[in-house]
Amino acid sequence: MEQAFIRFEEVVKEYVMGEVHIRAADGVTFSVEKGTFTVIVGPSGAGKTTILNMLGGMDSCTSGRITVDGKEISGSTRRQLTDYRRYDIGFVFQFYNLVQNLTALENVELAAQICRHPLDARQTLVDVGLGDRLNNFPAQLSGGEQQRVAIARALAKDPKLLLCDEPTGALDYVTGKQILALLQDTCRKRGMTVIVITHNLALTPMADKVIHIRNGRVSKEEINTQPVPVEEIEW
Amino acid sequence: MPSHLYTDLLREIRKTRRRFLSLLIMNMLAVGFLAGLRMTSPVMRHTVDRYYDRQALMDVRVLCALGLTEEDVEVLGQQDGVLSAEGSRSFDALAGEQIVTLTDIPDRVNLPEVLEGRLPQAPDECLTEQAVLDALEIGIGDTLTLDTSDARAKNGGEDILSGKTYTVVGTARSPLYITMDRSTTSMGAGTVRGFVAVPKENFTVDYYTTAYLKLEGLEAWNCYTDDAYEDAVDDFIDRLEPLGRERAAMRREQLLRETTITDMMAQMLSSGLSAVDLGNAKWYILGRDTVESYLTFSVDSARMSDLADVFPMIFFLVAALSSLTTMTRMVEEQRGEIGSMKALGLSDGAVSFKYLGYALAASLTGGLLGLAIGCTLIPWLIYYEWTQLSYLLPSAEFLLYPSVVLYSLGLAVLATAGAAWAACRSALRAVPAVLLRPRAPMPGRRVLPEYIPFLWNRLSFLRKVSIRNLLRYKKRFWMTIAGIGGCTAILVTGFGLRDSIFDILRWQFDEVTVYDAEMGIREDIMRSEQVNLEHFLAGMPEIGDSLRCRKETVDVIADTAGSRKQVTVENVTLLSFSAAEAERTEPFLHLQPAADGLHRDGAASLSIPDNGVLLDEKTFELLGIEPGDPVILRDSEEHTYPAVATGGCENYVNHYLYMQDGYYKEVFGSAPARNTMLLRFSEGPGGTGRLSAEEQDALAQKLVDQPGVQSFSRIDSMRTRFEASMGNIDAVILLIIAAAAALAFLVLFNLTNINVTERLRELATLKVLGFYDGETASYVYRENIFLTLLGTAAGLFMGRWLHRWLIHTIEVDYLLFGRTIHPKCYVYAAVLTMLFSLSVNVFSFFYIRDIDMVGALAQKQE
Ligand SMILES: Nc1ncnc2c1ncn2[C@@H]1O[C@H](COP(=O)(O)OP(=O)(O)OP(=O)(O)O)[C@@H](O)[C@H]1O
Ligand SMILES: [Mg+2]
Repeated sequence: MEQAFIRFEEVVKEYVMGEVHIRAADGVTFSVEKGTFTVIVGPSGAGKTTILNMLGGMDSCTSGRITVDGKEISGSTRRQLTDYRRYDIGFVFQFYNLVQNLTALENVELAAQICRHPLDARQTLVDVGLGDRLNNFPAQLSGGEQQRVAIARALAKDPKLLLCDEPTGALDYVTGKQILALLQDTCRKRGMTVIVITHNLALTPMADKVIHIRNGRVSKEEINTQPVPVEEIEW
Repeated sequence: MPSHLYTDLLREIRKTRRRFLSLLIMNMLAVGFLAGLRMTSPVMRHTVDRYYDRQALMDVRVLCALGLTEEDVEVLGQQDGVLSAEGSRSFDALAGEQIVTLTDIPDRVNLPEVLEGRLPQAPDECLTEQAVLDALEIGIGDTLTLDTSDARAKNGGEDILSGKTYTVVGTARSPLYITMDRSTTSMGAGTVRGFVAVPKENFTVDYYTTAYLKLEGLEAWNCYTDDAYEDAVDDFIDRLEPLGRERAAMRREQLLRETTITDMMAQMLSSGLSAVDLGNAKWYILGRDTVESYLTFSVDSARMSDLADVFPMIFFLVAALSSLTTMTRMVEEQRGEIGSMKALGLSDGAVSFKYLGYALAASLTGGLLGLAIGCTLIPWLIYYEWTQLSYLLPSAEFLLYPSVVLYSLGLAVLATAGAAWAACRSALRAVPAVLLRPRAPMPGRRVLPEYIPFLWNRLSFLRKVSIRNLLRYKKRFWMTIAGIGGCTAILVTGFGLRDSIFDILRWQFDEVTVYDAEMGIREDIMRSEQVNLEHFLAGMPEIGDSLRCRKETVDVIADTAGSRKQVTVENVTLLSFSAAEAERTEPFLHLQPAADGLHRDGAASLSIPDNGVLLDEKTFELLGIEPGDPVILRDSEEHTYPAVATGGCENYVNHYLYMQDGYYKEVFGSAPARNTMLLRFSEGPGGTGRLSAEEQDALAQKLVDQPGVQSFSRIDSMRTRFEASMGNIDAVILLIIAAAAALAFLVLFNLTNINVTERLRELATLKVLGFYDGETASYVYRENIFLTLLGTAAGLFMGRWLHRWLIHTIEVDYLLFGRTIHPKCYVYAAVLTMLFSLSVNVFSFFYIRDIDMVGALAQKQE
């Protein structure tokens, strides 16, 4: 059997706070195929962010195995993890996290300059619909526009894997939809593997795969053979 | 006040313990240093005053060239305001080879404090000083034999002491002699080693040399700091003058009847006073301020106090500025939280509680710690250094002025908590909604360099960010520059001060007054004696060269026809040479043009003018005159003579005036009588070096034995005395340098810490993007390095200015400190600052490396 692009095998993340042990991830197992669009859903506190952070090389797991494209992430050194984030991962946060003192274009270029084969920063911004706002500072952009810059920044690195933690959490309905469409588009057009965390169960039809998380475990995995473009979903 | 606010405060302190600690330590340093230095001089004076009180140091002494009788002392004891009066005898004597002050053991005044052993009980026991025992190489229990032939000769051949051999039963120190250094005597050569005190009954003379008085009710005052003390003593002295005249007259008559007493005796009685005869003998009624060691201490502690006045203030300002920055930025960082608290409906007071509490906790704890450490350690350390070097004093007694505590602690709290309060107020004035929204970062403003695309486009993004960060936040920029610059400036000043003070001794004695010794010649020396003496000198292999001159002490007054203020420089040593001698001064005196407190090797030398007087640089400066200006010379008899000052010459210690005999005659109306010979030692056997101390002592003895020679003094001993006095300052300066270094380190640490915390989110973002640790850290470093370089450069300039100002403040009249800072001081200060910056950056590297990306990015952007 061919190895899946992403594999989580019995991954455990335990936080120890004095006497209390919190298992944010309690034996998570799932896999994701290359070039697919995956949505992770679950109630608040279920462990979604924890899983994504481990997958993104920002946090380590307590036990279990995480492999991405045949490389084992779970056993990597700090340096290897940094390289992994640098070359393989694009991350989009709920709160954009742009560098305030750089313009939109510079924020994207900042990420591009450390990659081996970056996309053209200007073009990426044009692609996310910000061609006329290149020289604006984050403070001059709306939330949705900032999030697009953040996505452009992630995309410009041309990563193998795009991870988004509630990218629409701080946005209104329409803007949120545009952002999701942009992500879905990216996946389809570039064949990039995209994983998105959301609270919104209504969004599940747009994904190739939906992973339900509950109490730190995968409670259900669904596969949509016919994913719906996000524009057609109403919630 | 909701109790959770306390919890919040405590958590905040724990969470930001680096910031809290650096704030606390900064306050500790500032308060400790300020209060400690300020208290040093009071502690020193307090300790010494208490010592004086315990040992009943005399308040007034009465000297008379003719001696004082038992009855004189009795009458003195009956005067109003006199607590006790005691007659005392003291003579120069020899113990072995050593010159000692032979004195009696007092019962009521000037009590010696026994350090080892006990007070004499039998008549043939004596008390002395450790220095005497060391010089004689004997110990307690051994005997010493006194040779009083000098005093006998001066007493008309009658001996003054019955027993000559004494058993040493103890060592002591006396409040009359708190300095290790003693005056030279008219007897023989060399200096007095110390005192030897024997029971009174051993003396065979019927008169006292001095009467010591202790006045009533003066112990409550500190004799060094309370004017009331001096006023009371002056008052008493004035009241005593008539009695003095009356008693002196009686004594004169009595002596005229007894013919055995000679002129010689009078001389002996008044060591220090010039020769007297029966005709002008009178009572000298003097206060403590004529006691040499009392004065030395007074001058030294005053210098300490000057230094403590100015310097810590600068230090304090730098620390306060840094605390202020820290608090302001802390409040700004937490605008969001302030907003939500306000939105919750908490009162302004409740919201400010956390920040004010934080500031108060840091500044009060730090300040109190600083007081506890600073006010004990600093005075103790400095006092200890002092007493070690040149004083014989008991250990420090602590004292704390509430005023010093209040203002040092008050200023620190005000700076820190005041900043927090001000920042809170401005934040609270805004409506919650504004606070909750991220602070608009001056939208879209581009900084200047961006308009130079040629340069700008070549910069990496992180450089661009750094430049924008630097230029956009002007307040932060200037505060950082001021903080770092202040530290560098303090370091420059500290190092510079040290050189300024120690250079001048080297320059003065190695470059300016390069002769080795001075010999006092009787003015009425006979021609044949003079010829013999010169022969004798020529025959001595140790003496290389000699030069005759006239030496006297004058006051120089600026002749200010126009202005109302008259400036007088007192105690200027006048040296007058004949025209032929003036040609030959070069090997004895290197007179170079004044160069504002900087020695220049190989500058052209000045010759002594024949139509005016050449003054030292400092006198010239104090008088505020120009070359060619008239001055007035005032001699010891208060006669004044107009003269012309031709210019100033390089000189650092004491005041000098050089002139030629021809002009002397023109000014004073009479030809100068020769009374001094300047000597240069030869380069020693084989030209290898100068004379050793023993050789010099032997030489001195040989010289003073020559007819016509009155005294002999080595320049070296003056140098040693100055060095000891300056050495006292060294401890203070080293302390200043150490404290400045600690402060510099803290300020840098604090600034870097603030930078890192403020950028936490950006740093985490960079890490998520995959920047390596080094790349991430350099994001902060670049700014730090730039600010450090700029701050250091600014600090070097500030230091130059601060140093000059400080020198002017602490310089005493008779010294000219070096005014120019050596390049090496700048280098030290700059290197130290950068070294600190570097080590702080190394620290922060680990901090940055361990930033928790997840934690930092999980929060909402502010
Ligand atoms: N640093 C931490 N220390 C202790 N517990 C933590 C830590 N981070 C997360 N947790 C706990 O782990 C659990 C999972 O957290 P996680 O952030 O992954 O949830 P989530 O599914 O992303 O929730 P949400 O939808 O609200 O973002 C929670 O119970 C949380 O309290
Ligand atoms: Mg989450």
